[in-house]
Amino acid sequence: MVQGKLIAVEGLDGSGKSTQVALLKRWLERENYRVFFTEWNSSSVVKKVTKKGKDQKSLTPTTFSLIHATDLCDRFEKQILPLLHAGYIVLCDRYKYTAFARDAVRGCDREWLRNVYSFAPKPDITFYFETPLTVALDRILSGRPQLKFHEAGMDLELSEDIEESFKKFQGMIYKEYKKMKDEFVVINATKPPEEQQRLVRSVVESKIDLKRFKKKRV
Amino acid sequence: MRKWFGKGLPKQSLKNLPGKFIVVEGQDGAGRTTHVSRLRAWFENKGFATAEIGLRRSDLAGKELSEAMSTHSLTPLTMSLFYATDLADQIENVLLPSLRAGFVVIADRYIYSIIARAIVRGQSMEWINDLFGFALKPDAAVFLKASPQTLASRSFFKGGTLSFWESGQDIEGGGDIYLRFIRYQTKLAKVFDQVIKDHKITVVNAEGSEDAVQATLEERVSELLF
Repeated sequence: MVQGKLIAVEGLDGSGKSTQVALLKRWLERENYRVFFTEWNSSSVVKKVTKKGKDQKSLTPTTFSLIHATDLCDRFEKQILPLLHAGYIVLCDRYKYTAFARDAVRGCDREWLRNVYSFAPKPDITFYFETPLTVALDRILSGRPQLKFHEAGMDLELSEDIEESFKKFQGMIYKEYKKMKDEFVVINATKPPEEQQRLVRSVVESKIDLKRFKKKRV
Repeated sequence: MRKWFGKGLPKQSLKNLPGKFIVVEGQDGAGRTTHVSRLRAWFENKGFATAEIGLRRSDLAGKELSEAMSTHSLTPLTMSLFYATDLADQIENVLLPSLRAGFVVIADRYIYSIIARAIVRGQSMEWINDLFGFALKPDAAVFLKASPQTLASRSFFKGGTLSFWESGQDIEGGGDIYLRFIRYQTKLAKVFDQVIKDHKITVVNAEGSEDAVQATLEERVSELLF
């Protein structure tokens, strides 16, 4: 049994999950807890491959899925698991559920995906930031109009218009997330950010014995 | 009848793949690469067009995977997944298109090597077999079998030394590199015995002279294909 605790945040693009996990991290650090943050698609070993595949648009549903599994696995074996052993609270901005949702939409078999990612344990808490699809779309499409090819699901050939494709793709991902709701702590992401954060912190306090994670003063 | 090992690749059909797909497996030093190139020449002499796949050869990840291996920057599970990515890219971009065009495709190692290496490093056989559910089953698979001592002497002859990974230096503690190589390859051979049984792979004795082994290999491949 590991001493540490694993917390993941999931949600659509534009759900505000990255903001919320950043606020959670800030609080835990200020309170002097042992905390480590890691995000999706950030392993240095596989980064070049992912970038190449995306730039050349040569990724298929299977290689897209496998390269992201390699990314999480590399971070899991080198950082997440050792830090959990060392008694850290590990925060993950996106975790395996992101792959379950996106890759299933791309046509990968759901059971196969669950098996591929079985190296990654169920987090102690998985927050899902729920927004109605239209709200998430609005936030992205008004604030950041430069959509990327894969982010918009253009590889699925849902539409030739990138914005239209993004909308359809996000709608499909939204449905996949919905199927997994039982595995999440659902946060209403239409509420003001500070209200969401209060709720997030209270869930963390109720589920994790935080005083065990205090850094020792030297 | 063409088959996937499991659920296969999304958006890829098994129809209209008239070519032939042959896998040549064997531990490092068994003479695999030599025999693969002679096998290609043999097919081409018969008028068949050929193509080749193998490990760490994909456009997508081949170079990066080799780099990661040589800098020892991969942990065991990550290695399995990275190799799977590399192989999936070749299956979709080389193997299937070549088979569709009627080529004979020869794999210089395939999922079996990755499976054996994973199992020898303690990964679950079920997990790794299921991972490769996307891969295409070959028409023929042969394993070139040689003793660890033969493998070692051929590896020395080829490279002047024994490789880090092939002497299992990530998992074999103690003793010099030769002893580690023998110990690791002995363990690997045992795992391969199981994989050979599970996947009904044809074993070819690779202890003899190059010409003798090649003759047996051609004979076996003919029996399996024609």
